[in-house]
Amino acid sequence: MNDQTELLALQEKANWAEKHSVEKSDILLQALRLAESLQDTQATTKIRGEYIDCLSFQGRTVEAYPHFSILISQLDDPNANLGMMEELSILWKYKWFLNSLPKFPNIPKAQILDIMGDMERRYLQYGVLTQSTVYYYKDSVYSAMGDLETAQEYRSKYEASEILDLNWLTLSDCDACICNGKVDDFVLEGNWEQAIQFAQPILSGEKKCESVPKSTYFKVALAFVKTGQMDEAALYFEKAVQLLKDERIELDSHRRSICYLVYTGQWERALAIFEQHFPKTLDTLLKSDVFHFYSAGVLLFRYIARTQHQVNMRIPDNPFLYQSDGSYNVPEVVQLLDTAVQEIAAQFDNRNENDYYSRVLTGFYAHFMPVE
Amino acid sequence: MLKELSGTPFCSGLRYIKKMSKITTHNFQVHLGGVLDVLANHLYSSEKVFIRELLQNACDAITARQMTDTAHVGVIHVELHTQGDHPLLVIEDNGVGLSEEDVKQFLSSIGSSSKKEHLSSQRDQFIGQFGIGLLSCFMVSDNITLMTRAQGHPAVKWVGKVDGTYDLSLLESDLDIGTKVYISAKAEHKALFSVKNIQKLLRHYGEILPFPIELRESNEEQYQCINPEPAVWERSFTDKGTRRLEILRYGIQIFDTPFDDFLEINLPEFGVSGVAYILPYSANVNTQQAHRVYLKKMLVSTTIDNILPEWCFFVRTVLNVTQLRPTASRERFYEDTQLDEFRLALGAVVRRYLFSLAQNDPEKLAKIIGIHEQSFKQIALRDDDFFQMIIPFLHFQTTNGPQMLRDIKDTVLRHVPNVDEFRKMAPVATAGNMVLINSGYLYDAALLRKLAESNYTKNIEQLDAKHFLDSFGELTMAEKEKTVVFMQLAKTVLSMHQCMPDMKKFEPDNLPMLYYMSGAVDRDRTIRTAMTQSNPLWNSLLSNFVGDVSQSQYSILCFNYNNPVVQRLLEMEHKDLLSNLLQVLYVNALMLGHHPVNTKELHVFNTNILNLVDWVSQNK
Repeated sequence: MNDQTELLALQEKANWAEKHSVEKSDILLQALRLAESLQDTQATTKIRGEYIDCLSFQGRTVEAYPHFSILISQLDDPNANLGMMEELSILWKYKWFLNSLPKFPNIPKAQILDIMGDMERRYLQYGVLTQSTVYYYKDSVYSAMGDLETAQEYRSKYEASEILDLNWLTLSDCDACICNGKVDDFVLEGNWEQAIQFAQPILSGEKKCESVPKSTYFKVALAFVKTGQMDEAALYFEKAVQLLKDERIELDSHRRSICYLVYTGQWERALAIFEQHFPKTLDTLLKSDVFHFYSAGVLLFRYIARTQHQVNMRIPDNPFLYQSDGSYNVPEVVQLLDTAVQEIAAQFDNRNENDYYSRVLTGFYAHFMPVE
Repeated sequence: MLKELSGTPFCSGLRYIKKMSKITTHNFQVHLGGVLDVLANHLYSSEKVFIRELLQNACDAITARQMTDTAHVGVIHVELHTQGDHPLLVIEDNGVGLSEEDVKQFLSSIGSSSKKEHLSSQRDQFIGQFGIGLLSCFMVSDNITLMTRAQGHPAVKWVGKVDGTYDLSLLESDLDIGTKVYISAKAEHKALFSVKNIQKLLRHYGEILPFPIELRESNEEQYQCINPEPAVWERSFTDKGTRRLEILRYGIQIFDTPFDDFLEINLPEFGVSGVAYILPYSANVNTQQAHRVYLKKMLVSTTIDNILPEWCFFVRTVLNVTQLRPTASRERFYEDTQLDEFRLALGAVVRRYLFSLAQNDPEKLAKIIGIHEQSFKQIALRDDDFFQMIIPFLHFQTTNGPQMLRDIKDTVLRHVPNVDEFRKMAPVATAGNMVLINSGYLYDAALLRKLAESNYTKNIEQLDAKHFLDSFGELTMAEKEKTVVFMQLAKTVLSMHQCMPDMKKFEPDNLPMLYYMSGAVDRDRTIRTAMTQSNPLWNSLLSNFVGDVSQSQYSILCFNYNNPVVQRLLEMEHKDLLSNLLQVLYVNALMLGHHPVNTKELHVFNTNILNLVDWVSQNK
């Protein structure tokens, strides 16, 4: 099989692979390398775009950055010969990447704002209908950096702008995703009733897309549990577990899962989730995820500490949290995780020039630590 | 807008309205013509279903009569006449018939099924349920005339019109017990009323109905029976071979596909019987399924897609069901728990079939797998039972060529999840009589990982080049001494590429080196390469992720002490020349591994080749 034929075979295999799966991204990476070595620019761009999609949906943002940066540079390169759909697809992805930047404390605030400016320039160049989307993402980025005042400014502008149901012209997310984002905001703020109310079109199936409702269920389970509607909470929690069991999901979702289980007294199940996903925190640069996961860990081990001082876990050998006999001192684990969370919060607060992460942490413990 | 809503709960708003108004009750004003239009022209996907609805009414009427007269022999007569310019279709059944009261209640009241009240305990024996079927005739005709007589009642004539009105009269002349429906074709549907089309439609919907459907044109003496035989799976055959042949022939006729195999389905507890054919060509698991399904022997649809589990994508079925709930259009089934259980039961039948092939006819199973292997692999990853059953029979690429997993004799199954890595390691594995599986193909690595997690009888090892490097033979002290100078120089040369040299002994001798790229170096290279192609803004962003890769994380270029080229390199005293060769060998190793070569490395490659060429020229 010559290289060109092999490239086609790999692309064909990628088409067969399940959408956004690890298998698919592995094959696309092989295809990408081969296309690069063959200097087949058209195939390289196409495969790179698909590879980025896969990585992004798997939460492998850092791995996707270098590939996206190459695509962005191609937007300015007249020799790249990008078609209209290719350009559009790159712009579409831009908002994902912008939105992910605040999650890395090692990215300076100025750089995030510069990239936000670059995205805004490119979006408005693409068409005036994107203005509302720019507002939406500015709100999102400023919120994530804890600048809630500026975020509110853009939220007001977004809400005042005309929202058209033309996603490819406005480059905006679909209705379901926007609704899901709103639910997320309310859960973060502790507005449980509003979270439930806003989630209704999603729960009834009226609003749905590739990511929704599966990304909504954990959130509403928390909202239901906080409003004392335990049956509904259990229903949506189990639905989420079922829907997401085969998917590689972000640590942030596991945080919600642990919170729910601790709050409902199912700490053994929460511990199993912690045990299973803890190793992922050791080699990820996505510190916001680690922050959320460890804070859920603090919650979990504080809860366990109420009844016992030792707990058994199977965790691979690592320099942060490891006992060769698998037996862990619970207060020590709390101490270790708490210190790590505080350190990460400090890194974010330092970058953001505020105390947002520290405040989020305090609010989180207050919301989800069951009363003794 | 949304915020306003949240500040004004609906319930308090409603309370306010109730206080303001006096409550009075009114009937809805229904525009009958409009309702008929909606039912007739928008509920159904095609006007042709009027034949199905007429057949269904006829069958139900005969079934009702047989409940009180078990010896009664039912028959449906269909005649085609001409009325002026328009073709006239007459469908007559010798069923239970309707009295004047029945006609008023059931024909003149939309949504009122004649099966609802009387005989309600046996309602599930009827095909129709909704009381709207007759209205479908308004799609093809402006009026429907019906003459009917029930036992002990005078004959009745009912003429329904598309504007929503109807005429009702008692007939003086006596009729046989039963019902006759007259449908006169609208001008635009004349073609539909040709003998050929009506015959085709009757066969399409009523081919396996339990009562004979007999058709004739007005100028013909004899009726022609449309459905002389029961469903193929219900027929008796002289021997198994004939039965198999006839069922396969039926498959060709129905699906236009030359099937090689099928399984018969008979689950009385779920009220289903039929045939599932195994597709003889490769189909994608995501392709929409299309099954031909009859409800109480009346065709529902030929494109039902939700009656089998998703993983049964490789079968096409013809089924007769009795217990599922059809939607009002009768073209789909309701997604309810009954359908869920039904789907699981059918899935279990297909699973049992594959299990039995695995035990009794592995050749046939291998053939089926050969056709659907990619999709089977995809499904096996999701479905644990299916995985356990199918995994031994799935093929994997190995250093011995494609092999079924059960045919790999090694006690440990070793696999490499990357095609390029496999290519590098295959000669080493072959030289060591080891079977190596190339799991770099779609689903293979994931399947083997899943196998490792299950209690499989053999150990599964996922290997990379590093594993091989660790297993290679060490050098003796004397041999090590011989390599000292070479290794020092190699360390200096390769470290600029985040690579460390190593020297081991391995087979085959003709392989001079093996390159292992570490994950840390791979990530760092990707980011650095991207930085050279990015604009300043994104370049500076990426610089946040470039880390110092420690020596312990470097890649490894392992030289083969047994290789003649390496032996010659060890003997070289010309350090510059050796340095040139090492640089070239490093870039060559990258290229062989299909690793993208960046500008810097390409420059290194060209410069050192040029140096070598210059040296050869000068020393000629």
